[in-house]
Amino acid sequence: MRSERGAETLELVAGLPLLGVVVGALLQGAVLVEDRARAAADARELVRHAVVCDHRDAPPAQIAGDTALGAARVLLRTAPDGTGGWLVTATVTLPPRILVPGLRGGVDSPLAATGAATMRREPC
Amino acid sequence: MLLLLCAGLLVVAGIGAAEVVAVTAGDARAEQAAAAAAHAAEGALAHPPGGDDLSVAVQAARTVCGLEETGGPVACALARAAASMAARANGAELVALAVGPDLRDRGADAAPGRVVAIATVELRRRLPVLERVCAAPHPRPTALCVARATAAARLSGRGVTRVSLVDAPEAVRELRWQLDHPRDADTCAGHRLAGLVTAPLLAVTRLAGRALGDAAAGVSWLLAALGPVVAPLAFGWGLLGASFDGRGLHAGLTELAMLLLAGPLLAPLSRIGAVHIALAPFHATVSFAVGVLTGVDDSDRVRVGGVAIALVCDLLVLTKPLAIAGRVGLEVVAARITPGATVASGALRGTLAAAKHAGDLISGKPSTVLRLVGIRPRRNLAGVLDAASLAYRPGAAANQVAQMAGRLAHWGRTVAVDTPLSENALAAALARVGHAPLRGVEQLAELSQLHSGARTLGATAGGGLQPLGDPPPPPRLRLPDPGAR
Repeated sequence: MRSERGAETLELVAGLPLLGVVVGALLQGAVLVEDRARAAADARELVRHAVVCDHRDAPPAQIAGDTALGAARVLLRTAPDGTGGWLVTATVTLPPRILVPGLRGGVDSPLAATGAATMRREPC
Repeated sequence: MLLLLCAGLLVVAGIGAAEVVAVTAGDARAEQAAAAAAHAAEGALAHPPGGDDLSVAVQAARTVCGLEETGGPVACALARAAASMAARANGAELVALAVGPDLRDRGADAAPGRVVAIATVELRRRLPVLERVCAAPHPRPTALCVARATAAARLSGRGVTRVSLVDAPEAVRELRWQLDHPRDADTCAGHRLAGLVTAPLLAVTRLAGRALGDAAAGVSWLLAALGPVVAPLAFGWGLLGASFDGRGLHAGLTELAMLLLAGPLLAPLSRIGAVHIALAPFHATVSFAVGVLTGVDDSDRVRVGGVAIALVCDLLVLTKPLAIAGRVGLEVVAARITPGATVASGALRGTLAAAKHAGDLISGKPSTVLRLVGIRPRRNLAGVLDAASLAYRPGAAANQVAQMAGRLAHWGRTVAVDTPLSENALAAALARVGHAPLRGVEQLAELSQLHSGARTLGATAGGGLQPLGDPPPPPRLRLPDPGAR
């Protein structure tokens, strides 16, 4: 009968990459979730400033205090709300932080985090 | 195997974490949507058409501008529409909205337009795995599938329009306080003066009202404690305070009286607008007389005891002249048949007079209150004070007019009966009216006083005494609940 000593070690060595992939995916997922939360928070803060009369023209990165906004895509849209007012929508797209090699970064990536918030513009 | 198990567990944990993230993200989106809705409602009220009307309307009606209500001030509809649009733009649905009243009278730096807006929104959480469960017609648990959030906003700043997002539970607490302590929307000087007079009177009237209420409760307790021995008395006491909706009966009796007094042609003619307006004072007088004679007021809480006593009083007052004239009146006949009847009649009159004075005290009639504290003003001054007090007790206006008319008729019938026109025009005019009509007015005034006592007695027995008249019932309100999930 051949000895089975060392089989567990071999199995561990063989399974480690799988464990690494799973852990890496979880970490990447956690980072992406955080990016989405940041994008939503940034959008919320930006739109709150955008609806106030004397804050409308302030630079987005300065307002939200998020350095990642420098590389983000920020879009401010204004549309009538049907009651005589204007709705301002801030959409923030943050480039994803990539931990797993091979995934595409940048604001055009499908993993890019997008957050949007809409508020009514305050009268001046 | 162990590694595979660990990896599997990690995957399951990851899926669970994704659900948790979806739940918290839904909460965040709901909070943003609620804040946007409350902010939009306030923004719409910053320079609204009829914004002051909204403030006054919600204050005066002791209510708030809500989501379900239709109509009302223009600004209310505007705030509703703006809040709803903002909520939808954030992917949520507005489920509750309360706007106003403003708190402008609470601080030293009072400023117009501080109307608070509280909005509650709901949105689907869009769960990655459990969405199938939530897609059911009535998903359970609702809190897992639907995110709900409440936010509040208020206009702030002087000279600069700025909307502040404020703490929703605190705003709801303040709103409840405001609704429990309504601001008086009428700010004219006369009204404020009446308020100054009312404040000390209110203390006295509340005390008197409480004493009467306690006395009535004591009588009820005593009758209950004595048991079946006094069952008829207990029944009578209960009947005294029992009430019914007398509006229909009152309207019917009034129309009947109008027909009898003015003839059958009146009914078709009164449908013509101008005739209807011209007949309004006559109709009001007849309506008052019907209430006094039958005890059936134009009210949804007519006391049975009040009606019974009013009918007894009719016999005592209206048959008295006949009794004196022909010795055939009910009072005298009853007195011969049963010697105790006269005593009972006197006791009833005394009780009603006491009840009437108690009612005057509770309603804050100045002459009665002054007498209670030992001041006896001159008759003319008392009359002026009582007339002025109608500003805060308008329900007593008809009684006051009847009392004054009774005094005038008595003067006209006794003092001014032979006064020539050249000396006193009013006395001469009253003399021309004749003895019988003046006597009728006097009797109506006397009945009115007795009826007033009967109403107080019935209200005391029924436990429905209210200082300064009946307050309007508070409206049914559904304020947003920030703690609800």
